[in-house]
Amino acid sequence: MHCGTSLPAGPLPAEERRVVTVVFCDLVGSTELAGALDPELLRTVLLRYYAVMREHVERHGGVVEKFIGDAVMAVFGLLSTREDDAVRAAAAALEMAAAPARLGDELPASQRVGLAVRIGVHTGEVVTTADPGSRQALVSGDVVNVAARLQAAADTGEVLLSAESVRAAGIAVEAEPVGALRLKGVAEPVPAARLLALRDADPHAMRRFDVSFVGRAPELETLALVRRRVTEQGEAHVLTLLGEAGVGKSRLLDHWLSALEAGRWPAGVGRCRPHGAAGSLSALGECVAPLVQALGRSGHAAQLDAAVELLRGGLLLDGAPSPSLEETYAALVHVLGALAGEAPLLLVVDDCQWADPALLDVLDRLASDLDRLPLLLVCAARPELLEAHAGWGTGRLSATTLLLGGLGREESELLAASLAELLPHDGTLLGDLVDQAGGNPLYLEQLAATLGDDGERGARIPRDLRALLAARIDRLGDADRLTLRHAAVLDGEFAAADLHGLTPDAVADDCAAALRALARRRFLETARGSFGAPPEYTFTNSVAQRVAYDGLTKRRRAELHALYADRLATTRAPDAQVGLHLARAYGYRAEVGPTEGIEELRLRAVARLRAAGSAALRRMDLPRALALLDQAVALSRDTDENYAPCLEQLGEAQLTVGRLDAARDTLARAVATADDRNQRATAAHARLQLAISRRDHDALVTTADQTRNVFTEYEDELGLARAGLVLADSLQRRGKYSDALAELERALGHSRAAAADRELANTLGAIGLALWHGPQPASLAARRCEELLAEFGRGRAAVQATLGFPLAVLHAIQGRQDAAEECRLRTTDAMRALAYAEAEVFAPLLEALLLDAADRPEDAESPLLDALEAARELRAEGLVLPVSLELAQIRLSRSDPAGAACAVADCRIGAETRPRERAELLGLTARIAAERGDAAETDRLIAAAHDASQSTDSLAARALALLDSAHARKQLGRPATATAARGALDQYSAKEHAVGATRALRLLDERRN
Amino acid sequence: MTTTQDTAGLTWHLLDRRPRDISIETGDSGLVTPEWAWGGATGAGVRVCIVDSGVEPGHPMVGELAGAHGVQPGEDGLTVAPVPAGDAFGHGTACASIVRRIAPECEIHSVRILGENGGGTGDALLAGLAWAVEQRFDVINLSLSTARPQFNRALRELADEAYFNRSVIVASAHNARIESFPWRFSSVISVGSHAEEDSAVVLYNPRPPVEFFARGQAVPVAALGGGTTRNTGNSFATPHVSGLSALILSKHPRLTTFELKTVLYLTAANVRRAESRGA
Repeated sequence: MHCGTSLPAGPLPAEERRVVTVVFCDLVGSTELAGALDPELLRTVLLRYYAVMREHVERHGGVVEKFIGDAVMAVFGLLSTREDDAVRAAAAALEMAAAPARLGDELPASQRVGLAVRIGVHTGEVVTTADPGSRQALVSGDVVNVAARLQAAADTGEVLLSAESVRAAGIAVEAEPVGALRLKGVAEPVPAARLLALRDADPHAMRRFDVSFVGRAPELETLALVRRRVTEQGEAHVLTLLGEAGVGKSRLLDHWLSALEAGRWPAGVGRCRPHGAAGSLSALGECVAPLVQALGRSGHAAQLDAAVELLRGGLLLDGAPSPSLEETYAALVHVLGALAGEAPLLLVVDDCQWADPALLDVLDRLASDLDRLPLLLVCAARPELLEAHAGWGTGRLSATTLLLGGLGREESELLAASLAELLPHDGTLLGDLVDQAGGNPLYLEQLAATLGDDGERGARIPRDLRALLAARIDRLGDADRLTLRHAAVLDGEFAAADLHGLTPDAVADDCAAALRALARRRFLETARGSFGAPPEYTFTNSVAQRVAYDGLTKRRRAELHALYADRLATTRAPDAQVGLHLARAYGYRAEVGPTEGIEELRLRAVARLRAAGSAALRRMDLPRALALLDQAVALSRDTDENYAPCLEQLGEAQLTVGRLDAARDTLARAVATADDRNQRATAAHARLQLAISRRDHDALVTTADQTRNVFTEYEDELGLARAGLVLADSLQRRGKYSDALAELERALGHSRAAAADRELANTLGAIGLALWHGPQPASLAARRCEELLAEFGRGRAAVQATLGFPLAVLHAIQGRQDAAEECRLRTTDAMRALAYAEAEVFAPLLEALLLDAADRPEDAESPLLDALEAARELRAEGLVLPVSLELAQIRLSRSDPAGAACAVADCRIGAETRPRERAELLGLTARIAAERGDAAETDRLIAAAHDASQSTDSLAARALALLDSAHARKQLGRPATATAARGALDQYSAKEHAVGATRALRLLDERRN
Repeated sequence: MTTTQDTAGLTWHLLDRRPRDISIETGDSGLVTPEWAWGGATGAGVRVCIVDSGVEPGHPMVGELAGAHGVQPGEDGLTVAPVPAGDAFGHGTACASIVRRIAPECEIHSVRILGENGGGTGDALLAGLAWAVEQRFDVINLSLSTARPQFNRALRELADEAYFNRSVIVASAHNARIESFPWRFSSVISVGSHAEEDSAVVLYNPRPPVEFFARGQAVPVAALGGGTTRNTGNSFATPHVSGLSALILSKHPRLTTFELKTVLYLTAANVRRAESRGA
């Protein structure tokens, strides 16, 4: 599969961002030196100085970038990034600082002068070519400048490290802070430290070995098995433990060894160091030292004296194969052979990826030559050991290779939990860490440490982790590395085809192969795909993705995001995905150029983000809508055609999510901008939303009236639907259900025409209420509910719930209890599916209403109490009143006036109280007053209830007021109850409210009897 | 006095079982009922301290904040001083909203010990908790813990001091099955999650160290910026018990921590009285 064939011809994007450490070293007092020495001698001295400095730099893996006069500039991490570049630089700097004194001593006694240098070291990000062969003279700018200025600020013989270098070198350097230095040409003060010494980077000092050991049961089992085999069969065995940096090799061995020590297996443990940091065999020397020491206490000392003596002069002294490799090896075989003859012997060599070839050779030969003895040789290494020494561990019968993978999810969570010093017990916090770390304990450890930092979480990757990953990425071949970096731009799961057009074919003409290679190296993992389809990949962990991405230059990131957005657009990817890539492309272009075509990029980004934001808003995915519209607005300019519409929608989203202040602010800006540009429909939308946000009912109605004219003029269906809803709501509030229904039927048409789901659902809900409470006969109202449910209810739980509720009640009041109950069950299911908190009020309220209609008030009490509690818990005051009223009604019907009084004790009539509820509350309190025998109060309340009921066209409300008045009069022993009861009967009959009619009749009958 | 059914392996949470699986029968005479314990109570007069990430001021689900303090570096280590009310992480605000929902009229104070990303130090926990104990708050909500053993002793001493001073520390058990503190101490009231969708259900755990279970799954809580969300974790079970403790203490202000814990036990939804409630 050829990638990148669609890329236009052009220069290769052969630049990368990488972190390097620069060492800047200058000779002190070189002018005096020139005066003091004979020119010929001076030349000799300087040449020798250059040679010595270069030697120190290169010994630690650095590159001498250039000599500037007497100054030496060296760079670490230029040709390839290593995780310990800063440590290497510090090590070289220490040696460079000490070297000139010895140089001075080499001069003839008559001309001896004191030679000394000053050194500055700084670590930072630079842009280099991707091709190591051409990476010279490219390091310039700030990183070099800071290093040079630090050098100038240093005392004679001193090495000053910037804080960045100190942090990058981590625990391996010992440095004394000297405060923040003001350096020439550097804007901010630079915190610096004087380098004192280097420490051995023992993993026990670097890593958190104090936390409890987690998981690894199968690996420990294998180790135990191999050990038993060695002991029982008396044969040598080589066990190679492979795993990525940080995956827990040392920790596993440490845990295993500490358990073994109880069983007193003689064991020697050694560790290889990176590049030149120790003698080539020093790891083996560390292994053998404790064994030899134990030997001194046993009886063998005499036989082995000569061999031990030889080892003490070389291997045990500094890890050098002195006097010769062959003599050292012979002595080793002699000593280890004798030891293994006594008891099974265990040698553990850690970090073998750094082993000198000579050491690996010695280990291999030991295993062969001592193969009839119980010797277990454990070599732990990163997988790159096999890249450098492909044959390691193979071709031997008694060898085992154990690949240590990441921790499982549960184990990772346990480890993360014990790593954090103080942890809130939020269920998602650890999960996030575990997702980022992808099972690598070192990543977990470092990420857990960032919880304690302030600033945006996840914004920064811990420095050590970044260095480690940057080094791993750098070891990849050019094609694989570029493919990885490009893949880091992609979202989620991707296949080779997704890299089409991103990767220039000259670099990666086979993406599929590159992706397979990256999966083998565990940067990627294959996602579960369908059989036969090309494999899909994801990054093993998000940290690796971020580090790979950060290696791209900003200019390249801009290109890649734009190319990927184009590809996504052709595959009909969601607007949000395309928009976010366009926005990032624009962001980087705005930072580093080029500016040509950038305006078009911005407008495309805004258009996509806005489209995605509006879609999310329509689907009520509010957090997403907010995020997308926020970005769209941030990218917009106030001269853009779409600026006001964008603001208006952001305001809507803010309003819906309840951010009132922000919403008012945004909407006011939307109104002003739209007015300026004469975008009248947009201005009208913003005005309407702004009025809704201000919660002033009268002003809202006025605005709805005014904006409706604009919407009509522009045939703006959405606007018409919204204005209609507002006006209908106002009518319902005033008890005008017939008028409201007419308004709502029109709004329904507009909502459908606008394909506005949310407005449609709101309209249908309001229609349900109007049908329930309004004057339409119950059978007609129920039929309309059923029609609407059939037309709009399918797949819309909200519609099923908002229409199902009144429909169930409409069935119930007609005395159709079975139909009502069936409808209630469906409605309750729909409410549950919605998982709205209000369902905890509505579900029991509906149950109670149906029980009441079925003349089972005694059973309605319990669900009503549930509904009331839920309403109070939600602080839904608007729901507390209807539930309290219903509770009082059923208590009155059960001859419990005290209970009824209690139920409505906290209910007050306010300006917001609807006439229907106002009449009901007054009627109820009239009946309660009558029970008390307070005739005057009863009369007053009855009159008030009557007035309230006359202001609504709700027949049931009017009937109820009459019925209440009849009950109250009867209670007071007054005549003329019949007129009121008959009036109630008429109204109930007109509504086809069979239950109410029966109650009115019952009252009439009681009077007659 | 207590009999339990199959309870093997219960400790950190009750997510895989139902309340009836840990039904407990007690021979108590039945004087201590939920009605007696908190019927009609609002939490009025009880001072609750949320030791956490701070609390967002003016959040509708939290309401009035009676005090906002924070742990800050001082001359002799960490000190606690008044700070502008705020919460960059959201955890403390979420916890406060649960306490407010259960005990609407209690006083809520905040001590910020966590950083902007939810991390923190054992030293900050010690300083914040020591201050809260010194202030003699009636209820101290700790929806967090440290797994570092070096803080164990100092924390235990603080917890004991609180216990005898009638400051109730309600401490959340860790979500992962690891040992951490201070919820492991017997002097605090420790809380894990059950999976019931009911904020009123508090269960007694017959197999401590975790003593009580409360709602901790998809709990509706305050989100930063005045919003609402649903959170999961033992963090959110704990304020349910803090709020309930505030209710009980507002009705029975003289209860010692021991007595309060006993009331919580006797009123737990899975503890049935042989005589008064029946099976």
